[in-house]
Amino acid sequence: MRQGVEFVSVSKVFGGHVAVNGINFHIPEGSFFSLLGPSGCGKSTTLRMLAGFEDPDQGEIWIGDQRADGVPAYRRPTNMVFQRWALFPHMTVHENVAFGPSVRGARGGELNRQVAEALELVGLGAYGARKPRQLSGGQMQRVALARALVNKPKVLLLDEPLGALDLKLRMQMQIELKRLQESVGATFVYVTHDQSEALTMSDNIAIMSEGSIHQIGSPHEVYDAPKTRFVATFLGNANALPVDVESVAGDTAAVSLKGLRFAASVGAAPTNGKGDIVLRYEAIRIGAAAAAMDVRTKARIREVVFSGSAIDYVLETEQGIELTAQQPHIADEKPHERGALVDIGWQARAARLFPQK
Amino acid sequence: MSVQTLPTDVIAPRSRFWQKLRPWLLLLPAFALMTFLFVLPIGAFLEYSVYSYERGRLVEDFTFKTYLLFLTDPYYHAIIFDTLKMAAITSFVSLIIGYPLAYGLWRCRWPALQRWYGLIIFSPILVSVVVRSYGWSVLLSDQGAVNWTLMKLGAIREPLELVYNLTGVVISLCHVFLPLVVFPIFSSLVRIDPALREAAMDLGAGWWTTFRRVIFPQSLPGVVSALQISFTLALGALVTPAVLGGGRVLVLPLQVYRATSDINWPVASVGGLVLLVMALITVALCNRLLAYSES
Repeated sequence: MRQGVEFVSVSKVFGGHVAVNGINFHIPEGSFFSLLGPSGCGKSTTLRMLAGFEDPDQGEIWIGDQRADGVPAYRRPTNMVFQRWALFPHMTVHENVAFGPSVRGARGGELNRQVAEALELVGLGAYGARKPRQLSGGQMQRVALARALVNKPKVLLLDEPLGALDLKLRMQMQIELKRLQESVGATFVYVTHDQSEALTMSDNIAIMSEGSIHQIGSPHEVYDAPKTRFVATFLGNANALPVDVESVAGDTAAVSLKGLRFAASVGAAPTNGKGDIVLRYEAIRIGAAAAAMDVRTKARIREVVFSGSAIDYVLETEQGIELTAQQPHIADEKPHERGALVDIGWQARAARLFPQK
Repeated sequence: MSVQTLPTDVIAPRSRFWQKLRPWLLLLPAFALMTFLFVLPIGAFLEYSVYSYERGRLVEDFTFKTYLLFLTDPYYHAIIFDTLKMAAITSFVSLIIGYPLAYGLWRCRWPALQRWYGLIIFSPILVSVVVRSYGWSVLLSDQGAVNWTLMKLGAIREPLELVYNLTGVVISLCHVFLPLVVFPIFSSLVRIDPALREAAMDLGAGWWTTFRRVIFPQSLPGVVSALQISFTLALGALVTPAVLGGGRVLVLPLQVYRATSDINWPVASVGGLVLLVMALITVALCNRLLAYSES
């Protein structure tokens, strides 16, 4: 018995360009799942195939125990929140939300009750009589959510719905979306190119690039244990350093770079003795904290970049390796000076080895 | 770089003056045209409309006789009514034919077919009104291609009376109005966010419900401007009713034309003014409808 959402070797080609290339994944019922990747990676196409706006050229799509591919959009148990919300401009908020239930045959008091309930759920109970153009972006966003959720979809699809909102509102909506997902219990499939959105809300994230899924896992798994070089560099800020691989044993490797020899964890083992070490900015410690680290060296500070909550240091080690390190900014602590010679270090498992591109 | 050394505060006032003047200069030819072809003739209209016409001669004395004639004579009432009826039927039929064409053009995903659509829709304007009218009178006559085909197919026994009556006039006018009706509708369809169609389908609406509740309401501004164009043009049509009406479709422009050949300037100018007023009322009503349909 199938449950949740399942893609089985699904491909989609647009005029010779492979948009989605034989992807497989399973989304457990009632979970929050994100498709994350740069624009053009195939994440939107994947979502549109799930909604029924595109038909896959190959493979199977299952929603619950029903085969979904080939079923028209209007007969699928999915509803979508569109990128620019796509509210019907000639209808009031109430009419927009009532559209789905009325098409499915709800009338009169029953219809009004459902609409009122959905608007209440998104905190817009008093806005039924307004037209979409009388609403702010955040309110339109909520109407779009209510319009989709009123149909009690098995799967709610969200296509970068927060992209058009400003930063503060986006953060607030992230928390609210997560709350909504937990209270309605539907499966949410969320498409975004914004990693912080995906990391904040998701139970699981699929990271896509050029039509393929690179890794599926919890936010912690994909951030801390990336399986490909793309995932390691796409999430967060990381140094990518070309190294010589001396030996690989299980999930640890010994590597050397400009005379600095150190141990690293293996993301994917290179075969030709050349590899890239991916080391996150925030994994590098500077000053006294460096003494407790597995890998230690000295470096001169070339640049100091202050960005509010954090400070980035551009470093050059005594071996001549260029690195960027990020430290949290603490108001009472004086940052290191430009030009200073400092101790730096990182834990061996924080550096991950991948084959070179 | 000597240009940079020019003090900007010296050239600024003059360039600002030119900037203000430029749009007015550009409008000048249009204003001149308006004055000579619209404002002055209207003045002449008003002047001649208060003269009278007696025993084949123009009497240049101030009188409202001709206005009274239009207001009281059942003959003129019938003509005004027939003119409005012809314009209404023509607009209605144009919209019925034009809307599906506009929709087809919008939904067509095949460029070659889209070009053919475009050609079919534009072809009426390529042919002169006289040639087109005579062409239709041949096609629609008792022995014409249309009746011949219908009779061969066994759809009718006797030839239909398609020409020298209102039917022929409406057919020919609808033909020439086709592009003028299709393009306003098409352009308002193009303006619809494609995501709205998807949203409707996503919410469970099939093709017909999506059309009825989302697409059609969104295309109303185009429908209203198509109506406005076809109705006002049909009001003023002269050659088509003259050729295809066979003397049986007595619309106001024909009366005006006849009056001018009789040198009956008062009837011609009051008739012209009545046409103008009807056109203005149509435009005003359509603008109200437009404002309503866009709200």
